[in-house]
Amino acid sequence: MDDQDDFAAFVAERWATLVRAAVFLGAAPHEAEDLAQTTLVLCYRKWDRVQGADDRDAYVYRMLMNTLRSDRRSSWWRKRDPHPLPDQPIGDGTEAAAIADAVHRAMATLTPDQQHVVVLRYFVQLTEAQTAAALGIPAGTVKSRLSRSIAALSANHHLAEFAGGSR
Amino acid sequence: MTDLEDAWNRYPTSAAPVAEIAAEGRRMRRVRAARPALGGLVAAAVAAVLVVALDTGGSSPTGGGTTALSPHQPVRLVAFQADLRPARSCAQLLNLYRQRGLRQVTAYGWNGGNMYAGLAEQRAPMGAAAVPDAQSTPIKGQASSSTGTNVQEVGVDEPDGVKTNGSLLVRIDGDTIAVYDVTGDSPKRVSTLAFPYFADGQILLAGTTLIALGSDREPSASQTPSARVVTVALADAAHPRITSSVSYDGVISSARQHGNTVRLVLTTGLPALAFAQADGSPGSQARALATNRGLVAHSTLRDWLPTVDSGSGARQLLDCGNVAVTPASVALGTTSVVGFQANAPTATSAIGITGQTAVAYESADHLYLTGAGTQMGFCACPRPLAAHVMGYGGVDRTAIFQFDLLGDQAAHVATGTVAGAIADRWSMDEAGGVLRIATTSVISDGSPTSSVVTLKPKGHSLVQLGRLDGLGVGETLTSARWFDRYAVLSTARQTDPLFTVDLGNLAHPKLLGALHIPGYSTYFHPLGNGLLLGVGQNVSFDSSGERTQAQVGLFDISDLSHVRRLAVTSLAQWTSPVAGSDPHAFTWLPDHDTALTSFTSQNGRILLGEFKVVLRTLGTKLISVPASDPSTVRTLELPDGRVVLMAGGSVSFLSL
Repeated sequence: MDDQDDFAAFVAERWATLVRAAVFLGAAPHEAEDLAQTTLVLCYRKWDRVQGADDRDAYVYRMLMNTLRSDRRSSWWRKRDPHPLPDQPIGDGTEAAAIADAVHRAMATLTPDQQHVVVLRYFVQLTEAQTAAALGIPAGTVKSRLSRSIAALSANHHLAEFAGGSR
Repeated sequence: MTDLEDAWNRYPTSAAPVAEIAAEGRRMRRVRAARPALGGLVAAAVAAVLVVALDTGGSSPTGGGTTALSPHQPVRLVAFQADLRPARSCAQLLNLYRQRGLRQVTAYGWNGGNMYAGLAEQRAPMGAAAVPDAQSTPIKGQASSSTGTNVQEVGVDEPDGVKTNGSLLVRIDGDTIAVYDVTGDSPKRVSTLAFPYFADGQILLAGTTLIALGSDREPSASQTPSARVVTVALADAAHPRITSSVSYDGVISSARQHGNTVRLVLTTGLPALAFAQADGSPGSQARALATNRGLVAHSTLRDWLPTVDSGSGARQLLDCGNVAVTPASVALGTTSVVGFQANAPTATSAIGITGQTAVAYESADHLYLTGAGTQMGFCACPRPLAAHVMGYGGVDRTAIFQFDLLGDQAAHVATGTVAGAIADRWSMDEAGGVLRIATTSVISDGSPTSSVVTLKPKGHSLVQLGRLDGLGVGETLTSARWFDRYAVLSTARQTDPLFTVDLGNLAHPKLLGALHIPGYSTYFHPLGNGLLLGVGQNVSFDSSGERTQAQVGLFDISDLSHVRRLAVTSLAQWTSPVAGSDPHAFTWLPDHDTALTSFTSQNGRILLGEFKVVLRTLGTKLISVPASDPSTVRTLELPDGRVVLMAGGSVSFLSL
């Protein structure tokens, strides 16, 4: 079923970026993979819709944001793990934890709204339009939030000045 | 390269779990494709795929084979796909109600009166929840729902007296809501709003849409119970606005929220006909019986089927073809499963069955209703309160109806029967497509005993996969908690054991251990890190008789074969935990390692207990709260970690 192959290819390609985005959006290492998995399961369930969506990446990141936003408090992506993955050691785990910790401290200088924009636009490298669609905000807001976020992060020497332009 | 970019690139990730995601997705996937419906009913159900009929207005879609459903195409579930058959006509349905009614009408009206099984869940005394865990990882803790309520099923919200969306907090007191802004240093009341003809309210919150569920007090309403559902727009918190008010005949016996979808189980009892009462004079018995039989024989569908009124006049809630006939062993009446979107509460989907149901349990994907037994409308379920063991007379078998859920629609897909009684919704749990239930039966010498049964849908039946009997012979089940492959159950009377059951082999549930400790738990909560908190009571005896006191125990369940109690805190004499009968009175704060839960005391005061888990011990703090009704004492955690205490009419932040 090419639908399935298509999905498998999509997952394989997007997995690492989704997990990293989850970490940058505030998830702990052990939560990030659950969150990515939950998001992709949701996408699989609605694969027709994702395929039909004008923009798959925007849709997937919208799902990621929804999963984070609506379920963060109830933490079901942390708690619910109906078919646990076989243990796949990721390095020794301490490296991931150390990086995540540093990332969270750096990102804490931004408001949540700024974090969302900077993660999706700058790190995941969605386009401005995709970022706007994923976050449900106007493209102009993406631009202004991004420039403020980049300024804040570079002031703290976390990022080089962002040249802007289209990606 | 700067540090954040470096971190992005260096962050290690595992291989993409493609197969697991696809497997899980397939399991959860509801509707992918359906054959074009021919002549109404689709006969063949494809395993694991809901049967749907395309709403094509008569013209069948072109092209053979399967037709992919676009999400925008209206999808109508075939409401009854299993053994329950929908009525063929309104005449047939009315005839059935009359015939069954005639069998039970007496010279004094309905045999046993017109009792409702409804609302039992609010006093459901058993604690349990679906907390799927991993085989290789410890059982995880469970935080409250996104609206701040301690719920049975993760992702399925339950109505309560107070809710928050993170920035607003809303509480309801009878017919009046109060809206608070909780973004500042202290909760600030920004508005109140009273609902006309409304009482006993509980609320759900979907974003800034509030859904209040209560009883209808319209003066012109009939004498039978009527329910009212009011929705309120809170977008402008200072000026909440009622956007709809819908009344239903019957009692809302269960309400659940999945995202924006709200689902009600509405129980409508036997109709209030103008019955004669035999007065004991000669012949009055026969005359009254003849009169009453005549009333039933001439009753109409208006008498039997519930109506819904969203302000433009009452209309029949259920189409006759959407009402299925339940076996005669299920108490007569009507149970409706009503779904709607929070933003469109007047656009309801509803299907019904001709019986009253006792227990409603809703997982993420399914609704399970148990048939109320033959004790005519009385909630024929044992109340497992250890202090007074109830009789289990009459209920030796319980019917379970399984409904598949799709958006606001429901479809009956399978029926099963188990020996014994099912106490309440907390006795049931679904994991991985398998229903696990705790039942209580009476063995030959009259003593109750509990069992764990696993059931799985096969075709149109819920088929028993395995069972474990003999849990607590002579004892009453007081609490159960379900995990992906384990269960923890507590019984009480003599020795108060805490049982651990391995459900890994569904055909052979296995008893792993029994910890005998003084006192029993009426509510269990998993804390993660191999810890379980048990809230319950200790019963002691002295010359003046039985004395009870609330107690809270911390258990190490990292090895379920050897559960150990690490710490226990006992409260004063005659205290009683509220969470045992009302799990919404419990809050686990994972970030604070603290559980909050309330107790009633002898002098009517309510105490709030803070139990902090420190290095496998239990720190305890009790505060007296200014409230007299335990259901008005609630604690909620906001997304920023602050904790709100509602006590009666006061709302404040709790410093931990």
